[in-house]
Parts: sequence; C-alpha cells; structure tokens
Amino acid sequence: MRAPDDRPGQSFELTPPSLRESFLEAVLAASADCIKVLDLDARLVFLSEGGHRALEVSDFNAIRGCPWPDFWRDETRTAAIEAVEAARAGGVGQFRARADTMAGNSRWWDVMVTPILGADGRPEKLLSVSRDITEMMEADLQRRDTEARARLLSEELQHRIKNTLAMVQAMVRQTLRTQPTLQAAQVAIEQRLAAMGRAHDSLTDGGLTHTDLHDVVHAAIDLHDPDGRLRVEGPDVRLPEQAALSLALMLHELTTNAVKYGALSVPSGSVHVAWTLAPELEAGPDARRLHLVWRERGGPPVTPPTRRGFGSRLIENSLASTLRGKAVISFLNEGVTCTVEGVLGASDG
Amino acid sequence: MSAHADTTVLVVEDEPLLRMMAVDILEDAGFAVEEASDSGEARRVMTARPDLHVLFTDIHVPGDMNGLSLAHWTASTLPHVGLIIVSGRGAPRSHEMPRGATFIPKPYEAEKLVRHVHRARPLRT
Repeated sequence: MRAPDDRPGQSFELTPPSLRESFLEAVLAASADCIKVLDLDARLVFLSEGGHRALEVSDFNAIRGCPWPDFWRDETRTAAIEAVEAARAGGVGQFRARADTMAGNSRWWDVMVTPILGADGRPEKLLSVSRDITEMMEADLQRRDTEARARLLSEELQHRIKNTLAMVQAMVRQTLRTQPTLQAAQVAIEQRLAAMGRAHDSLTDGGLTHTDLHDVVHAAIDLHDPDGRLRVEGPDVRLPEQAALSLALMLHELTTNAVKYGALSVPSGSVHVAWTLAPELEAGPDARRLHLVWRERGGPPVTPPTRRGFGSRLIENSLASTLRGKAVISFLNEGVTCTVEGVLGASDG
Repeated sequence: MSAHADTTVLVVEDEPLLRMMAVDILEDAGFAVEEASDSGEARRVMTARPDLHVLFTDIHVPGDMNGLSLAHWTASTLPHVGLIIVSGRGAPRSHEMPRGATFIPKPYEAEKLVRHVHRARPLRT
C-alpha cells in the first residue's frame, strides 16, 4: 500500500482531526480508481468521485442502496458474491471481470473487496476498489492474438518448405527424364530452380497467401526479355499461392521454349501475354473466370515436338487443375499459343 | 510392360508437378495409374473403376473431402482398396486414418513409394 501522503511533516497522524476529513476527501477525490463503500449486505452506500467517472455515473442516488453484485452478470456475479463473502469473513476478495459502465460501455475491472473494521475489530462495512484495466487486458489479448498468428505463420512456412522441396524433387526428376544429356539437365535444373526462386519472391512481395498475377508473369519472363519483346496486359488479379507457383513454372517453360525455338529465337518475333477476368456466378458469388493467353508471333515456323516435353506436360497436365480449369498448348504454324482458363475465388478450397 | 501392370493405382494430388512425378514413379515401376486432382474427381474415378487396387492421396486436396475423408470414404465403399496417405504437414494421428492405411511424409523417395504400393496391394486369390 502507498502512504496517502509522504511529504515530510504532513503525515496522516500529525494532521488535526478537522483537516483529516478534508484530507481523506481529497485523497478519495484524487484517486482514479472506483472506490465504493458497501454495507454488510453488499448494498452501495458510497461512491468516490473517481468512481463516478470510471463508472460513468451521473446521479449516485439512482444506484444508492442497490446490491453491488447485481452490477455484474452471469459467472462474474458469482465472483462478486464470493468476494463479498470473503471480505465479510474478514479476508480479501479479488477478481477480474468485464462489466458495463452505467453508460453501457464495456470495461475490464480488477476488483478487490476488503472489510472496513469497526471499533470492535469486526467488519462493519466493506470497501470495494475497482481499477479499470481495459487497456492492459486488450493489449494482452492483442499480444496473444499476435502470438497465435505468428504460430500459424510458422506452421504455414513449414508446410511451404516441405511443399517446395517436393516440387524441386519432382522438377529434378522430370528434368532428368526428359533432357538428352546430363549437361543439358544440369542447365535446365538450374534455370528451373531460378524460376521457382523468382516465383517465391513474387509470393513474398504479395503477402503469404495471395500474389498478383502481374508480379508472377514479370518474375517469370523479365529475365528473358531484355529488349521488351514480351507484351503483358491484364487487370490486377490476386492468385492463390499454389496457382501462382504453377503458373510461374509454366510461364518459365513457355518463355524458355520461345527463346530456344520460338518467337524469341529470332529478332522479328514477339510474345503477347494477356488475360481477362469475368464473373463466374456458378462457382460462387465472388468467383471469377480467368482467361489467359500466351501468343507467339513472328518466329520461325513451328514444328510440333515429336514428344511432349516437361513444359507441355506440366501445362496440360495441368496447371489448370489448381484453378479448376484447363490449359491447352497449340503448336500453330504462326506461333505457339497457350490458353489457360481457371476459376478464382470459388467457394470451396 | 511388367509384372504389376495388373495393379491399378489412383493418384490424387492437386499440384500438377507432384502428380506428374507420382504418376511417373508408379508407371516406371510398372503399375497402371489413374489420376485425379481433387476428391470429387477421385470418387468419380473410383466409381467408374471399382477394380482399382490402391489409392494414393495427398491429405490437402481440394473438393468437398480432404484426403483423409476420401480415404475413409474409400475404406467403407471399396474395402479391398489399399490406402496410402501422403502429406507435407506431418502425420495424422493413427486413429484419424482408416485401419490399415499407410502414411508417407512429403517429400518421399520413389523406392519407398513403390515399396508401400506393393505392400498396400490387396492380396489376390
């Protein structure tokens, strides 16, 4: 307990009785706590000035004599009754609970009920001091919330690392199957790892669960497009992580293919990547259909590959399944064309 | 092609690259393979192919069921089908999986997958 006043020469004992009363009043008035005096039946008989402010009481007469536990609801009312019982037995009753002020604002209170002893040393009245701890409690709740979110995030990262390793494993395996020489496989693996790395960059930039299609497209193709022969246009689209990674790999394969054999293998060639979004009401109120086209022009005449490589397998096999749609790659004579259709924001996951 | 071509495995995995890999591993080992990218498609395949031998499913697959529910559905609908469950999120508790199901963590080795499929294959009389 703090001394009511610790200025030298002004201790409580030395204060004359006439001053003592006004001093006590000043102390009570100075306290921001809600200080109440209850009779032994727990009825309100006194409320400090700080209490008027804390409880937002405009007229004490409206609540004078009311049973104090009635200000608490449900199980907190039980806690209040128990605190009163404890004080009445000469002990200390204590609890923390939420209750509304008279103006109806919900606050957290740290409550202590103690007996005021009479001349015979027996409890004569009860003192109830409540402190408004709303800010502290809310900060605590917020901290717990932040911790829970950090935990979720770390679990999500764990999962993502495992998934990435599985993706790398699958990519390496596929590459070793399809590349003619070990050296070609090494180059392809390095390039594909780099593409996956860039896709992860765009994921991190866009937040952990969604990323923007523009970022994904640019991360996948910019490296191969020093002279701006890839034209990209489309509205902003937020993609789920999985779809973004698959799409990034797919675009990497298309770009690599275009640089080796397609439109980007000759100076006259160009690539146009465009997409549109349209409502897809059948799949849910917020669902939209993504239609993306990759179109190569001005390249050498296209000869369809004699066997389907990793890229076309990945694309058709397909990226689209992560978006519930389909992807088709066509080796048209005037240039390779790939169309992807998928549904975003469908109500199931 | 090989001694196991009479054994059909259904691979359920939504990530295309991972599905391709699983299909390749199993085909290389000589199994006949069906594939599905969500639980609805998986159930359609199983309804059309009740002679299927092994279900190999990721836990986190899209659709109205996850991989675990799909495994339970399979255990009660096609009790002869061997069950292999895979996930990158750690193993489910054993009571969460149907009796006799095998769990494999991701990423997995090809040899391990093939070995587990051999073991999960129902015995023929």
